[in-house]
Amino acid sequence: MKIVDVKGVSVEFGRRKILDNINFQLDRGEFLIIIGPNGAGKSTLLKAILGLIPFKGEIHIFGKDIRKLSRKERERIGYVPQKFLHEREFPITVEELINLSIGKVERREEIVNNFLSLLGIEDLRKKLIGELSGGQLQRVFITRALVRSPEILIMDEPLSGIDISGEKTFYELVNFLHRELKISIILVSHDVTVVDRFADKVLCLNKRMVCFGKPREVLSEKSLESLYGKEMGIYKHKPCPEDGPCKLFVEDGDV
Amino acid sequence: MFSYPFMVRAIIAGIITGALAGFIGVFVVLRKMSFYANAIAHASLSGVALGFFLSVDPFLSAMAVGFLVSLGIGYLFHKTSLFMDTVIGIFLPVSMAIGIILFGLTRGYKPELITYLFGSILSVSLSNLLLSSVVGIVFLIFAIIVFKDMTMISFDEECAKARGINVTLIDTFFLIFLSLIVVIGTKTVGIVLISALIVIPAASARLISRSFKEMIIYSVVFGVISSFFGLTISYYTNLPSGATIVIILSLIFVFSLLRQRFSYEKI
Repeated sequence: MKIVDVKGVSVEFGRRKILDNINFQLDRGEFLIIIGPNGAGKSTLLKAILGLIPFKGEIHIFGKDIRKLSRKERERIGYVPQKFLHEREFPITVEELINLSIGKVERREEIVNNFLSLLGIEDLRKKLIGELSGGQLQRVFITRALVRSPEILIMDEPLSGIDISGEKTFYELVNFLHRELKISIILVSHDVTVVDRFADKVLCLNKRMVCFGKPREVLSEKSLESLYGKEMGIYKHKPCPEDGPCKLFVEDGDV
Repeated sequence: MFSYPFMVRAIIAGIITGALAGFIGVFVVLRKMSFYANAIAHASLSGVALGFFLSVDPFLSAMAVGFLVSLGIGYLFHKTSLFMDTVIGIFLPVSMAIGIILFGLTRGYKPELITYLFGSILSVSLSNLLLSSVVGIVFLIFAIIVFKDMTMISFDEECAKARGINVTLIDTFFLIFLSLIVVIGTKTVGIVLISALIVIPAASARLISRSFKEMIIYSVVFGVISSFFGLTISYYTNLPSGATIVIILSLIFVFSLLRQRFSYEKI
């Protein structure tokens, strides 16, 4: 069953066309990474998928029009927004923030404890969110999205302000959620190098769809050049192992 | 002091207003709506004037005008490219100007303008007190039902929408209650100073709180304490009640600032 089905979606702000005729489908349990340059409409596409902005075309999640999803059905969608730094002044503890999301369910305390432990932040529960590092805050936001056991997790550039070691840990975590918890994931990223390592599918976006499919099938020097408007090179990071995927390393062609 | 019915009414109304303002103020401050509350308060002056001009209860007309202005500000902000402070900067003086002109045009009995601007402990009638109590109870029920949603909207409106929370509906009720609390507060604190009763307790609480729950408790306590002692001092010294309450609030703010400075590093 298709968990996300996007058909002919266009978004306009006034006379400005932000997205033009986007079409793709995501199967249950798949991990999609959306890549593209700044201003390509990546965040706008996520907002449309979440039904937060008006759009032309059709978007179905769980087989139902996103605009007609009930509040209960929406609880099956986890969302980690892009800009969370402005909320740091909000005097709320990690525990309070997560309890806001989980609502009244049985074994609430146990569920919260399990997720805090899973994400390695159990000792942060009494901390104010303003006291956390970027990486810790990001884990709190992911925990907040996970406590309702979503079937799909949508993340908008969750690595803003995170250092390289934090990025590595983040991708290992997301990979775990995808492989072990079987959560479908849509993630917007600037980092082309992680696509082949983690994603089942990639969507190259620059106001329109430049490519969509399995990374090794659709990512090429030509598609990346078309996406970023610059000559790009794809280098094999190391020889492809026989029992695993090739590691791709992408470098700006000008370097 | 408590042998005078007017003083009992003023104290009860003051405590109710202080608690309500302290509670709603937390959301006003965290949503950066402090100036918004000020605009609603000033707009209620034209509501009061309209009430006298049309010979209807000025308390009710002030509530209606305060609410309409709050909706008008929201509408103009969302439908134009103007910044929020610009929109408020237009509504605030215009609504005050309309109020002053309506006062000027009203024939027959005209109340002391200063009573409305700065509050008076003599002005709280039994019907005002009843209305304050009803508003307080209804707001309490509303807050209990949507507390989590209101907090989520204040923290992250986009996530709240993504979760299917009806942000427009809750915001509309929030503005209605804000208008009601502002108008109730004008009786004891006055139009000019009511925003202080909404903003300062919450701002002071923010400085010393280690959680959201603490911020709400401190803010309500500060609102109640300042109203009670402000009215009491006003009674014994014959000073305007609103100004006295605001001076106490400013002392609480300074105390919170010092406590934060010496107890914690920046929270």
